[in-house]
Amino acid sequence: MSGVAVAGVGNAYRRDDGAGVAFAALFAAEVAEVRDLGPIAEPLDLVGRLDGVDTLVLADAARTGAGAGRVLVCELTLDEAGYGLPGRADAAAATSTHGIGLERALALAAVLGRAPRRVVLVAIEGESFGDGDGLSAAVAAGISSAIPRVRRLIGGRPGV
Amino acid sequence: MATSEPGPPRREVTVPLLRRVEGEGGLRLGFSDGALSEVALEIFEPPRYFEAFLVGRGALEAPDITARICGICPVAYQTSSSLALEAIAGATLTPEIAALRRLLYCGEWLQSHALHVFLLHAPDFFGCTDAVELAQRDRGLVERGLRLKRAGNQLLETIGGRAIHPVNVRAGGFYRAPASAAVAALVPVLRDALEDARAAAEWAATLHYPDLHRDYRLVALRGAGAYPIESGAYVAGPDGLAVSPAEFAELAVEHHVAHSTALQARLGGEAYLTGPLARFAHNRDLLPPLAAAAADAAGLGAICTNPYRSLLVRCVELVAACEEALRLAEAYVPPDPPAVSLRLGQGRGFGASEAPRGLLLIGYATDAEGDLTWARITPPTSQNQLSIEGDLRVLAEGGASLSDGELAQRCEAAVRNHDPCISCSAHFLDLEVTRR
Repeated sequence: MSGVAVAGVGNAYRRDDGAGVAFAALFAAEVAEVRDLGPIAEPLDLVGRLDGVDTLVLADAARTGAGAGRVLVCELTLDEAGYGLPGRADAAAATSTHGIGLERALALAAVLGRAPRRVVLVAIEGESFGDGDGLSAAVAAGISSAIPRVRRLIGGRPGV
Repeated sequence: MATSEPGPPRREVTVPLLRRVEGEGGLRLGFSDGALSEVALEIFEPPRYFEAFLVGRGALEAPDITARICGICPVAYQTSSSLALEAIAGATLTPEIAALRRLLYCGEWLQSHALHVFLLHAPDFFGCTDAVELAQRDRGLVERGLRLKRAGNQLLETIGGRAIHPVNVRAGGFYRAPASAAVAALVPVLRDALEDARAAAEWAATLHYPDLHRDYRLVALRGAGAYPIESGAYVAGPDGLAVSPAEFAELAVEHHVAHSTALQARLGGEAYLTGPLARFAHNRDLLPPLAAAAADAAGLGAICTNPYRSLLVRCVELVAACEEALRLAEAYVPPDPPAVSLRLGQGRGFGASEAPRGLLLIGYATDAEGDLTWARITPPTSQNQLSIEGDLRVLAEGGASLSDGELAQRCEAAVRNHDPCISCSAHFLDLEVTRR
């Protein structure tokens, strides 16, 4: 598990928006030798935390209309063209500090030669994004059930 | 059928969404018969009514509520808010609390200046679309910017509890003093940052800057024996202006214009400029030694009125912020208690500090119970809008022969010279609701 790190994106005081942060904490606790990079409040900050990271598990809350607690896991692999994310050479890609999102942060990391070889995206569907802490029951259950899936994907053995 | 005479040829150049600025705004230039007829920095972010919904809240809540205006410069809002409340209470900070406040504010300067210089402004000088493209050309440059920004983040995390919207600030000081060991751990980080900042100033001195000089009316805090960051002795301005923040609030009159959700401030009915050029002009003699040496080496004189060279002045201020932060961290003594207590009754007070992009003036009034009855928030971008439009006017008049695309690009870059924080500026003073 050398070189595997997990980072959660989101605000734990906005209910299910903290799903990514909760996933990261649980994943690092249950899977040995996985480093938790800490909550990522600002995507640019992620770039400075990637030294020595070969595989990054990046978890965030999602709101797509799917059922609460549903977890989408997909993998991005770095090659000469980056991660194969859709190109955004339009103005919006560079509009503002608000606009420096994860996609641009990963693109910047790739240019700087510090991008992980693999990025595993974990998108957790939330249902409540109001004030306060604590996850919805369905989201908490979804996180627990996603841990072994992600561990299998990155090649970790149970108990490792 | 009636016919009408054809109107004069009209040309309009519009940038619907400014890139690489904080917040959402655009600009519009109009030409009639080849002559510039209209310049508008359009700020269309929705107004947010902070001044209205602060009324009725307990005054001690004000620093945290007001700071939510901006995620880039929350420490500036917390500090100016605290200063206003401390003025009402007649409170004086202990030297240890004042030093810790300055140290925290240095972190915000590092964060904000590094972000602006390296990721938002520098691409203009290399013809790059954004920082990703710039990194392809000069990886080390962007790496340096990220290291400086990270040092600022670490300062805020250590003192403020988190890098964005720190939670440890209160009127009168802090909720808890960071441990000596935690602040000592910042020292090597700040030493490295100081070297990065000095290298940045050397690099910035080598850039080619367009030759534009403007007759700005520069307004900034004059430091009380040190370069102004978290406070100053008085507000300094044109023609020897030297007034308290409360007096300045009377002189800086805010107006609403149709094309902006931000109020525009005027001083004596005219435009003025806050920010690094103004700070430098009024306080060059107060720069700490290494920053002063960096300014000398970069060829900066007593005053700089070329808006493009604000990038260079920001780099000098990065040196100053690192130098000050290092000095303060090495001398750190945890304040005990971490805050002075405030007794708030009926009163009115103003506070001003130097946000990275300019003077931030905040005023509050409180009732006998210590609840807010009035608030005024005058952010730097509201004060700078008219001067920015003045820059655009000069550029547009000199660039009428350029294509629309070239002119738009030139003007957009000119707006970025001032690092506007559009989200900060977009709030009206008054909200009137009529129910029938």
